[in-house]
Amino acid sequence: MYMNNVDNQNVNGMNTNNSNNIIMELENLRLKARNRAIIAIIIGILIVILSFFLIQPFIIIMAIAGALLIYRALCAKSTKKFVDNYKKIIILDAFNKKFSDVNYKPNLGIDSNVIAQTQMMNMGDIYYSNDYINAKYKNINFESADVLIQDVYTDSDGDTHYTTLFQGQWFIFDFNKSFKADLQVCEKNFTNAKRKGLFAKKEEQLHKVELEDIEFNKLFNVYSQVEVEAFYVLTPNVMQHIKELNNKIPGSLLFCFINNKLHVGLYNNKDLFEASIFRKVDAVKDEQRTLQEISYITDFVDILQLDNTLFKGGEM
Amino acid sequence: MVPIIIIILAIIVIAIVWYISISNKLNRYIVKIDEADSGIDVALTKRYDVLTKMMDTVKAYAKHEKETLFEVIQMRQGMSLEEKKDANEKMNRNMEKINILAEAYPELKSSENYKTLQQSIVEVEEHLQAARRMYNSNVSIYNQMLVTFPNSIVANNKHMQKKEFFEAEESKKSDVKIEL
Repeated sequence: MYMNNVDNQNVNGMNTNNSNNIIMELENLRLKARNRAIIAIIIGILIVILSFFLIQPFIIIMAIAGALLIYRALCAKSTKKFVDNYKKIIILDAFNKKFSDVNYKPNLGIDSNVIAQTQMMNMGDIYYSNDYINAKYKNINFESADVLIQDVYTDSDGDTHYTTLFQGQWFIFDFNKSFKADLQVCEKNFTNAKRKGLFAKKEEQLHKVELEDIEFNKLFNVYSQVEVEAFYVLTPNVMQHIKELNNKIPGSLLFCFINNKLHVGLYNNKDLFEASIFRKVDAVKDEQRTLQEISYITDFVDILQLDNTLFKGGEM
Repeated sequence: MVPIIIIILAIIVIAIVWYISISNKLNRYIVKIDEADSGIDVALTKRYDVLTKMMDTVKAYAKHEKETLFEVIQMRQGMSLEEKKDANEKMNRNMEKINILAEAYPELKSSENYKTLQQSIVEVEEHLQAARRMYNSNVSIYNQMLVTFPNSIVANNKHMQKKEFFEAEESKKSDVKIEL
């Protein structure tokens, strides 16, 4: 019965009693999911142990499969229910505190075509994205989502192998300068970026640019369709700020400046804004953790000073 | 005997290939520097155009000012680096005058036309900075190549000279601080 309450509310703007009730209901959902998971794990382990006594490999495989099915049947639904509600309540509440015009879709992501159209990222064979958020921070519109890109290949023995090309967050910000040419700034250890080369039209090809900041050149590869545009976008200040971001944010960075937008790929092997059924729901701690994760987004706007509109709209 | 001749021939071929590749590399940088130089021309012309519009706007507001006289700037195609620096310096001084006059005439400062022009001048300044930085960056790489051994052998043989930088002036940096 309490689900209706949890389903349709978030903590924001509610009085303390209501807020506490919602957190309690959320905690009850977590406990229910956790208990089911524990039962499923115990049953699964027992089945596997028993099957080992029979020694037959086929039975062992069937037992493992059965154990997984039991786990899924027992706790997948309740876990999903808890995670969905956690995101609707805790995560959305933190977003609303930090951003305006929030549109959060936990089960949706950035469309693969959006990243593919940049033509700056190897898209592999498998694409998965969730935790889509579109909002405004300091009046700068942005989109962000968790993204996983993998390559799949089958070897001569018929075994399937997965290679992760990208796992992290993809951000799209409105950029505060107008530019005509595409520009890519790729950290040297970001290995799966791609760029238009030999087979593209000459005017679309990206060429390596050496900027005057030696340290920046050591950390990043810069490619642009028009060299002077790279110097226009990457001012000494912006280069300094990108180095600062690189020091502050763990992971590899890819910056793509396309159509007056800044795409940022942060390859950190992390899945942000996730709930765990084995962690107690604590409104304060969870909010702090979420705000910490949100700082990945705000850092780009704050450090790169994307809200500085000095260069926007003045072209004659 | 034959192996020695082959080794000598191989060394000669390697030396020729190396000479040609270094020569081509240096020539490519000369082309890049020329392109960057053209970029400065374009950016300077844009700055001149916006500045002229600003001066006209200011003159309309400050008709009675005796000190409104702006320096005459002559822009033409194929200006030398020195001439470009000189023109740029004059633009800087005119910009400073415009800023001083804008402070004295609040109605000028608050006019929409002036605000738009101010934003435009910031934009063209940024383009000029980019063109200047690109030019200087290419000149720096080229000059380093000229003095680095063994590239210097090719450079000396082809009588290549160091290129001059298009320096950033202290006064110009202040242009970016325009209040909007």
